[in-house]
Amino acid sequence: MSGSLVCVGTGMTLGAHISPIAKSHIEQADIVFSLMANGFAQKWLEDMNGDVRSLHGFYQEGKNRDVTYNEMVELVLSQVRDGKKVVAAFYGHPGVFACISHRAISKAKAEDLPARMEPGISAEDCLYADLGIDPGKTGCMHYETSQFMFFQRNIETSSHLILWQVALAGDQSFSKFSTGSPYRQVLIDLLLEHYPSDHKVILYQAKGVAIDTMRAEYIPLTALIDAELFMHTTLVIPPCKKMQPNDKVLARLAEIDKQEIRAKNGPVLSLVL
Amino acid sequence: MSEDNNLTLTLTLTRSKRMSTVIQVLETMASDASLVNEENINALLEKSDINVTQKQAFTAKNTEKLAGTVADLSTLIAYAQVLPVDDEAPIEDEQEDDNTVSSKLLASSF
Repeated sequence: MSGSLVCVGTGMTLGAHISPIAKSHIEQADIVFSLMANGFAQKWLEDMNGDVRSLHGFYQEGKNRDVTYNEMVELVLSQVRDGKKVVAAFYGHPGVFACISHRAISKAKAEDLPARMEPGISAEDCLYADLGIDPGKTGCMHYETSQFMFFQRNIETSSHLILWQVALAGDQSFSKFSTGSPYRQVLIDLLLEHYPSDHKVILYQAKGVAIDTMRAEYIPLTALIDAELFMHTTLVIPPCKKMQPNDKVLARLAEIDKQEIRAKNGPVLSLVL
Repeated sequence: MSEDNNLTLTLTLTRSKRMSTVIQVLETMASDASLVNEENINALLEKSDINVTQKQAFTAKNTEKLAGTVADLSTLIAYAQVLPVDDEAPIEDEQEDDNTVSSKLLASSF
């Protein structure tokens, strides 16, 4: 019997966000590998399937996370190769800020093993609901915080800027569980090139269980240096200026509109022989 | 609380015999739309087979205290499984051969 892999998301809040198909995959799997956000969710998963194996043991402070993720992928795939019906269950969405699913599915497909993903409600989804942000209103940019720092980016301050894993800002070793004030100061200085120092930013954390309280803490940008940050804290930076019209593009579009109106209202030509 | 709600809660609570009750209550609280007011939540807690400390933790919305009452509860940290530089991700621009920064970062991280 050939094995298979389904990567599923269990959502952010235990019991509230999992899809019926994701739950069914978990219940029917031979083995479930898991990366949950808290112990309650891990137990909840263990109650759904008799063979749930947490991948958390691979994480170690000082160990490169690239290595950690590859080890997780290999363990998951080894069971698929053995013919098992494998589910990899991740909190949130299995494919959003979640490289393990993408790596595992990609490698499985390269080996002609059936593999696919079932979405879950992500931290991003919760963020929009909890903070009342509509990404369609002014646009929204998302970056992993360190990536945002390491690479040249065109920052559009008329849209929302959302930085994930802000607690790990500037970690080039990929092996820390948090970075300190000097690293955060580099991030703040980078942001101060584009935003005023008193610009209000939001520290956001979604609810993990029903009795949790969602965190939406508004602080001035410069106060980020002393803020309490966790691995799951997200930095939300609202726009600091209005959207600026692109006059060149608008003029071109207006010209097209004119041509279309002329074509529509122009005289009907008839062929005279 | 209506009889219908009572029936729903009873059914939900008895559906999974294997599930530890604290987890079951958390799941019910997160998935039953009637449990948005204090009266219904208190009724759920009264019906549930949880001890006094657990009821207090639920009422106080104290996750840490509640965690302390559940045996073998793992302490887990929520990681986003993402790297600032992921050389396994496909690069579709023209600079594929010139991606020296990402190579340097990955190399320096070992």
